[in-house]
Amino acid sequence: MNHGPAQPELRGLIAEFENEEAIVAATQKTVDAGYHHIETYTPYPLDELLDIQHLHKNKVALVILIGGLTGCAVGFFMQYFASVIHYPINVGGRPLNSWPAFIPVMFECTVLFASFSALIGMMVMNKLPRPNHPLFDIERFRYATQDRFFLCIEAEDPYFEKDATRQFLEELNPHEVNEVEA
Amino acid sequence: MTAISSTLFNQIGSIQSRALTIGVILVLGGLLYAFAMDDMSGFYQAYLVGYMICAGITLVCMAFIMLHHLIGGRWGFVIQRLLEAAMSTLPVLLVLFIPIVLGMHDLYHWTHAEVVAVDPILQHKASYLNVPFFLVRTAGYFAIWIIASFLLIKWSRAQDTSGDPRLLDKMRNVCGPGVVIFALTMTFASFDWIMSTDPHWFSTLYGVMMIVNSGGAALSFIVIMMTWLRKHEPISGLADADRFHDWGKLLLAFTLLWFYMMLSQFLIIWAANLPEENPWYVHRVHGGWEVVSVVLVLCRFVIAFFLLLSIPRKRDPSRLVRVAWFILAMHLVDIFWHVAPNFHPGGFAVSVLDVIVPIGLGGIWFYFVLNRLKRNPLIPQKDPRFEELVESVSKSSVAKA
Repeated sequence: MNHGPAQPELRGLIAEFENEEAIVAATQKTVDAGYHHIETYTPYPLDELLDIQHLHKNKVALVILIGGLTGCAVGFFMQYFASVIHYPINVGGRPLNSWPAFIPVMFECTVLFASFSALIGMMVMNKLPRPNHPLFDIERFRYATQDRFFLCIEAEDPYFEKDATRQFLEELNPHEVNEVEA
Repeated sequence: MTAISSTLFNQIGSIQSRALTIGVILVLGGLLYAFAMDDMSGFYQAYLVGYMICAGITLVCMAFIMLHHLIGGRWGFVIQRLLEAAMSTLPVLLVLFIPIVLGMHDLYHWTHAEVVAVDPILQHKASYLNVPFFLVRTAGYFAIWIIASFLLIKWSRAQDTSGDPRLLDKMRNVCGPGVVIFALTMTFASFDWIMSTDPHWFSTLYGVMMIVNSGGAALSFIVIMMTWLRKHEPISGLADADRFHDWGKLLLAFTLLWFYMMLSQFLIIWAANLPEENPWYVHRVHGGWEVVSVVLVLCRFVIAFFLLLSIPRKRDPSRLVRVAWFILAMHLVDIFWHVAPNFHPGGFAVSVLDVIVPIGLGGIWFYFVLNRLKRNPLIPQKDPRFEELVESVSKSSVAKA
């Protein structure tokens, strides 16, 4: 098969495996070989892959924490502004800055901001929403939602060299190896 | 895997005798000190604090067992025997209640007939707050708790030998109503034992607050014990990072609940600002007690909350156990904060008794926990849910290897 004169840029190489054990073993070998920019696609979540790829830590947690703390501060200053600066009303002789009464709203704002940070942070980091993906051009990739397991080594990986990486993947006994075009 | 190993048996034995020695020395030392300083009421207050800590942890352990039998889950299976050992101390706690009965006059203002005679509020409450009814209620709580714990331990042991699946159904039949009855009895026990030290004041939330406070302490106790027991078979294979993560998450949940309860009660009383409700807080924000209040909220909630947010810390037993000790220490401050200001409303007062007597009582209680723990296999045998658990654990550990 000829790619023609203007060869499209390569996004990565993707290998297809037939079962759980094969993809776990292959991912382990790939990580051991030094590849970092890898993705796995499986029909159901595999905890082992999370461990191998060190995906238990994710940066969304930090985004949520910052979002939550921001919400807490916003909740406080919103009420402070309303009851101390904008509409200072004496309620039963209590101080204008009645912070104990502010706590429920501060808590709710913390939860609100944290939830939105979680959702938006997750979307941004996963580059979502994304209606199409180069992987969908690969004919067999649709089996990733059925009974096949895919491992993709991305071209941005420093160890990535088209031929060497292809050979490396072939040695892992995949069903087949495909090129993903950008 | 039927009985515990002889190394562990001996290790438990030596810790046990140390716990008992330290416990008896501290409690008797406290008693002598109280005699010498003529401060028996100080002794009884400290004893009440220690008693509430031990009883609270014991009762919440029983509630955890009931929940575990009802809803299952891997978090409860590994600790089932530890929880059973803890709840087997209920008859001991009944005996340990005797000093509180002896010290009633020092602890409970409402037992003084001459005070009640000139106090319309206490007269109004006299049909509930009187000595005979107080004793009958306490006896009733213990009767219910001891029967429930006795049945649950008996059937759990029977399951070890027979493996009869009907035993689990039997346990569940006790646990369903048991959870409700536990919540009610512990609520009223908290009203009677702790809340009535300030007989004018009342809070309907108080019982739940005590359950939640004790829940945090009980989980800390579980984490501390499992960090030790995971070095031994068969716990070592079952108490992995996932289980500690579970207990850490529960500890975080109870830390949040603790603050939720504290704030709910405070906010309602603060907002209403009624003279019959607010003295309790007025005592706790004046005369030095405000320092204890602030330290308590900072340590038990703010610091504990941020420490427990970290996933790696929850998954690492040696780091989680430090948080657990911290929370357990704060629980002592917490119960002290609940009891002591009622006796020293004028200003902050703490004596050596407030430290040594609760720790001593804890030592004695711990002796009886270990006494039960070493006699049974550390993991329930032939439980219908066991195979499923071992399968999932071995599967994930193979993948990690």
